[in-house]
Amino acid sequence: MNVNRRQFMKLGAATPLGLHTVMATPWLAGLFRNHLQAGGLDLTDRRMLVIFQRGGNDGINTVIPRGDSDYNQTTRRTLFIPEASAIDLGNGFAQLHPGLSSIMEVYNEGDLAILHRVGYQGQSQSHFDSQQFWETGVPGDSTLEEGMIYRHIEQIRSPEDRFLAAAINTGQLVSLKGANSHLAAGSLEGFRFSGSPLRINKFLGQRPSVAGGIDGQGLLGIIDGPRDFTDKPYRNLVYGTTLSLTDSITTVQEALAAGYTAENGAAYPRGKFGDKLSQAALLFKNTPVRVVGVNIGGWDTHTNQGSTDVAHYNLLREVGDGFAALRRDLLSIWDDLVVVTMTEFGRTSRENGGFGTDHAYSTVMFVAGGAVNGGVYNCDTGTWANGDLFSVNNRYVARRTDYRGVFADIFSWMGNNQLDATIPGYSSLSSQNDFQSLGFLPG
Amino acid sequence: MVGVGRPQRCFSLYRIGGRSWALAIVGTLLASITTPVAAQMEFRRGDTNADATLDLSDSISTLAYLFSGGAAPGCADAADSNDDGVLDLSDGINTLNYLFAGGSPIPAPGPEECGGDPTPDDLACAVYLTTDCPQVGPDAENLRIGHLLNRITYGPTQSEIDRARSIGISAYVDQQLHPESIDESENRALSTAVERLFTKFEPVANTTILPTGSFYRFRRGTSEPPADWPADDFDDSDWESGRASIGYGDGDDATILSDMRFSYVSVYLRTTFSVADVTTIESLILQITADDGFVAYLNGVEIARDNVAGSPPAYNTVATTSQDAFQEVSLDAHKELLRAGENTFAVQVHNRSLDSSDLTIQPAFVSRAPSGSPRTIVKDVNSLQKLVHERGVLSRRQLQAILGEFWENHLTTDYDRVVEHFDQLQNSDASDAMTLEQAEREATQLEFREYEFFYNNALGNFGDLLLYSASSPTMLIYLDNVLNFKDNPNENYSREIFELSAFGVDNRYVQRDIEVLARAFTGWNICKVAPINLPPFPVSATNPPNPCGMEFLESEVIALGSGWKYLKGTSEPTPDASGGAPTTQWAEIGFDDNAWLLGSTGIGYGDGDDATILTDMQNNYMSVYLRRSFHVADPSTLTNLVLEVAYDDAFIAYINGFEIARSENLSDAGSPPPFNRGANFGHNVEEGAEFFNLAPYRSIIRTGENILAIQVHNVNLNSSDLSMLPRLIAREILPESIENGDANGEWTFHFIPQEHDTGTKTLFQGTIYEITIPARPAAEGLSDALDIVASLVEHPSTAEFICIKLIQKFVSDDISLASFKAGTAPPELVEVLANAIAAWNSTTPRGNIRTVMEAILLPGLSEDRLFWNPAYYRAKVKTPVEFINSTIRALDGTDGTVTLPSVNASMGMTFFTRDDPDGWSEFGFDWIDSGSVLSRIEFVRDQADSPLVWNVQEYLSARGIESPSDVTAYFNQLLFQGTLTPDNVTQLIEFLSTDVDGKPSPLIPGSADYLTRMREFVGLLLSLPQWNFQ
Repeated sequence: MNVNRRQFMKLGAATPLGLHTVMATPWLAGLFRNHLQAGGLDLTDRRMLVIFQRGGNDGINTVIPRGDSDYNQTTRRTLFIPEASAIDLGNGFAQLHPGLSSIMEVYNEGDLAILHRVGYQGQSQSHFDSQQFWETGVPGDSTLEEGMIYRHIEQIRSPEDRFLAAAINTGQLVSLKGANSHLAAGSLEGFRFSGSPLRINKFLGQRPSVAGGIDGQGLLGIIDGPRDFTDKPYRNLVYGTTLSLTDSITTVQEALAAGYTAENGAAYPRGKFGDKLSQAALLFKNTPVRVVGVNIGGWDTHTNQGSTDVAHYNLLREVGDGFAALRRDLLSIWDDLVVVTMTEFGRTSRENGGFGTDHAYSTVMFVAGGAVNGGVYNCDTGTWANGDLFSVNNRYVARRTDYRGVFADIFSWMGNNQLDATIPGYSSLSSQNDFQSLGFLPG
Repeated sequence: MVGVGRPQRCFSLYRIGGRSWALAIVGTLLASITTPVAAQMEFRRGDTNADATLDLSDSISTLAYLFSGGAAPGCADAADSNDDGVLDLSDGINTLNYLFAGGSPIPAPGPEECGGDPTPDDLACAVYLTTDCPQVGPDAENLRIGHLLNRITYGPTQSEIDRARSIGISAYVDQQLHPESIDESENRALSTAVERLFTKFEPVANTTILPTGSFYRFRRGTSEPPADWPADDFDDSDWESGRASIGYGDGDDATILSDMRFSYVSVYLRTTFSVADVTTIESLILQITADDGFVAYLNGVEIARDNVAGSPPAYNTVATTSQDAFQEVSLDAHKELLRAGENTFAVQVHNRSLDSSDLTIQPAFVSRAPSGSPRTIVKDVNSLQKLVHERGVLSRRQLQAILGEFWENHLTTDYDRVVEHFDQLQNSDASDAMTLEQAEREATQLEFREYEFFYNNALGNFGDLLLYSASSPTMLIYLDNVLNFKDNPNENYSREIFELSAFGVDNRYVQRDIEVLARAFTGWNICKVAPINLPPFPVSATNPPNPCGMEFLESEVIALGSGWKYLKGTSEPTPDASGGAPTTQWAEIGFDDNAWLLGSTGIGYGDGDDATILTDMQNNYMSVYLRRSFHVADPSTLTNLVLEVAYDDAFIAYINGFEIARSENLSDAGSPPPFNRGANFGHNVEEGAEFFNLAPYRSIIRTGENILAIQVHNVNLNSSDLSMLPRLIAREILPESIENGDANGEWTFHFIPQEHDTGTKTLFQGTIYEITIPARPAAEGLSDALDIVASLVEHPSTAEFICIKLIQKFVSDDISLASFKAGTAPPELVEVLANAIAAWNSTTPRGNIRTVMEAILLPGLSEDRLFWNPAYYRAKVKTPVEFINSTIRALDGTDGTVTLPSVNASMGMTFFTRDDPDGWSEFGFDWIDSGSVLSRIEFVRDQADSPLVWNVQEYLSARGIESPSDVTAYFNQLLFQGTLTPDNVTQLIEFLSTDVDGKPSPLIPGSADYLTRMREFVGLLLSLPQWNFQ
């Protein structure tokens, strides 16, 4: 498949939403909620929070394959975590990094699926390519600019839906990029126009009575008026993003005005990541958003990774504390929520000379939610033979599961029955071993 | 009345590629800055509302505009029904007469045929809203100039448009390709803006005389001390002893006075320090943190005080106010009090009140002297970021400014990582090498030096840029090459030089090549030199200074080996007699250790690095206690005493019972921690020894016998190993040493032969590009990577990758390495690339950027192909810096009150502080999302609204434009080369012709809201989606 940059996939049955169908009316709670029916279940309340761990998380010290004797102080001189210091997961094989102690609150409820050895065929060890592949769902195509989760949203979108997805991030996540612009904002509070309402009103003006008409005014009148620039690249993206901006601002400002407090004693980790999670929670509570994406950086631990302290420890603690807080705060929608992590690759099974680890192959994903069948997948005596730690090139852990298979299960659970349109080639890929469902979500 | 007294404007509507382009050229531009343009917008006279029909509604539109706040006509010439050059009541009447009263015909053009105005007048015709009029004379030159300025400058300004028009496009490009040919000596705006980013820096050397954290004798102020307590011969032997800072209440004190609150308000401190030669002290400075007030004495004489009254203040005097301040007090007036040999420093500190929540005293003495010549430095990283903007906005050497930014971004390094690295460095004496402030200053100058090289060589040879980057201290730090040693190669940089600097991802190299190249770069490191020894590039890379940096002689007071007594930590060694709590009596000098075992260091088990093996420790006991005596004949001769500790997992060290060092993983374990306490987290010997400066503890070292004692703790009982390898060393710093913290020193590339892997290295094995570097002596090992870097420049992958990136930047982002390799890139761009690669290969060495840029920009001009293909006109989304700079340039503005780097960041771009090594994207797709579009709109509205940014009245007057149609036509031309659609133009005119409530209201020059409306109008123009394209 050759898709130029700036081209988007035209896959599947769903019609991409025309820019002009986005209405200016502010969203009102539940008013336009469309109810997709699948097997008699209402799936339209099902939501997803995606956390991208940028840099490549060391899956081996996140979920320790204690049962593999190659995990030892020779292969991981300074990173090795003694058995007594790690958290046991109860399957006689896998243990968690001690920095993740608070995630046990979720695990012990049976709400956390730990998926080891996830990757893809032809694993890229470039951060930039591999992040792109995880996000676009098309490994090997570094030119595609449309997110896999974006396509998923297009499949579950109904015409009335607006404000379906958001990134709490400065810059849109590739996962959520596509022809129709979704919200991306580093902070919700600052997401508004400044100036007096009167002047903002004149500046924005109003759209024409029909799209393309000439009776509009101000910025909206011009943008939604007759278009020039007909064959310019990115034209629709720029026009569409600008046009939908006012709607998103209205939605976000109303959501903020509606108020938010973390519930059930939820304590988000201090710092940027925790702030993003609590803003995601606010959107889940006060808007119809179905997918929220956030980043957490710093996982490229080439040097001084630290065993039970310093860099990796602190990152894992943020993630663990974040999961615990999300479950508490969003308990009221917990059965309809999936929180999922991804990262571009794992890290070398052997420690390097700088007390860190280098780029490798497969790694760990977490999937949490009230509907999730908690447990450890791909890291037990049945799935992990002794020595598997070095099963690729004597450097890496071999993949057992393709990330697209993991997402396919989540997408289906959210009511997406157009997986071919979401994950290119899914129907043929799905017969492969590494696409077999792990069963971490019901049916 | 509108439009009176204006010179003639000429307009035309013309067609390119089958689509209509409204081109409104404004003839009102001052003749001195604009040459006449040929293009004309045709119209039908009388057709005020531009519906192609002359009827009653036209007369109504004219009258409504004139008298009842109706919208201004898009084409005033059309509304000028009687062609008298004035738009007034007679025009409305003339149309009515013609239609209904048999009046004389409406003058040409019209009513059927379109045409230009045959009678020159002062009226404008910004747009005439029909699509059926013939269009004449597309002003190809005008569009080309716009395209050129959009790409090789940070956007059009009126003066650059005029310049390009007057000298011609080819000559303009040629000037930009030879920036030295553009005279900037009179560019005051640039030099003034740049000067503001620099400051004068006078390096000084601080020599510590009395370190912070020193030991003091102290007396609690429960009563008045003897009057001579500050005197040097006062006997303080019955006073208590403790380390500064001394105090209570805010968790920051080394010696805590837990009984002070509600009990007494003052504390008296004394200590001694020695000065070998008072004549070497240029400027004596007391650095003191006091909460709340203090009086300080040197050899019995008051030298400084703050915030407390009385001479001396009585023991129960309270401080004047509450404060917690660090201050520096110059003692130059008291220098004569200093004596060679021992001096006595005394200080009394007073609290604000009995119930005050805290008190702290932390003094130090330093001697300060100038070090090196004053120089000009960049103020801070924000100023450096701003430099990229200032050059981009104000310099006439625009292509150089853009390429300087391009290379800085292509070979990016992260200032924050450099700061972090410097902040962790130590000097020879194991003291912190520098403050955070100095680390930031030095990182800023290094980032500046690097950017400046890229800027100055922006059109030079790529090989120089690449080698500069590879040997740049910032890059060596950023991508971990300073940690790349022959026994522990680190492949971070070698991966990225392939993927990001030279070849592009997976472009004819494999993982094995990365590993081999990492070995070639082993031993590439950094060091500091005196400014005079800083080599210029390329000598800095090909013949780096050696030796350089810190140089000292080390003598061992306690070496690894025998003489240690140790006790297994199966119980508390010296429990407190009353409660059994841990004490440090076991670490004191008089403690009887006869019952302890005899051993050598390293001591421990499990990792093969120990001389004394504790075979029974695992699963049995958590800690081990060590003691060793050492003899000091004269403590004053001990210079730069340093404790070196390699350990697993944790320790606390004492001299004569006073704690002198502890590992971070026992930070909250108590003083001392109990024998069975586990470390908070693990630590390994391989993580490297830690060094502790013992200068603050000098006063506790006695003449004769002393005791170094260490308690070593495991992370848990079943830990697989434990180790303690301590050394007590004295370092004599050699005169030629440049300490890491030397404020006058400059960082430069340094090659360490001993750390270089000397083996054979073969790259690109089995391909026609195979290179073999023979095994050669370490002393010649620098050549390994130098040779490889030179060969990378000659490799076709580098030509492809760099030429593609330049084409993405200057022509179109519709080509990428991947689409080129896949054969899916547009043929015309592949042709541009072929030209560029041929140019790349045409020089020796390959990769001359000026030659490549010529090949990208110049061909195809006459036939509108390649770079000049209309498909590429405004087909690129502006990056944030391009958006910001082009906005300011269009307004002939300055940056006003906003800080451009922070605006850039709000749109998603920061220079010098990007975390990732791949640099910012050239792809439009990466810059457009709701948050960044909001930031762009907020920025332009703020700019247009700010009186500091541009003088709107002056701007309009200088251009002779004031009516809605004039102004709209002008900006349509300047910003969009006249391509706004007629509908857009009408709507913009309408915006200018309505008040803040949106009600029609003629725009009257000089009226109260004239300028406000203009500002909002320009804010709207710059908020249009079209302004995001270049």
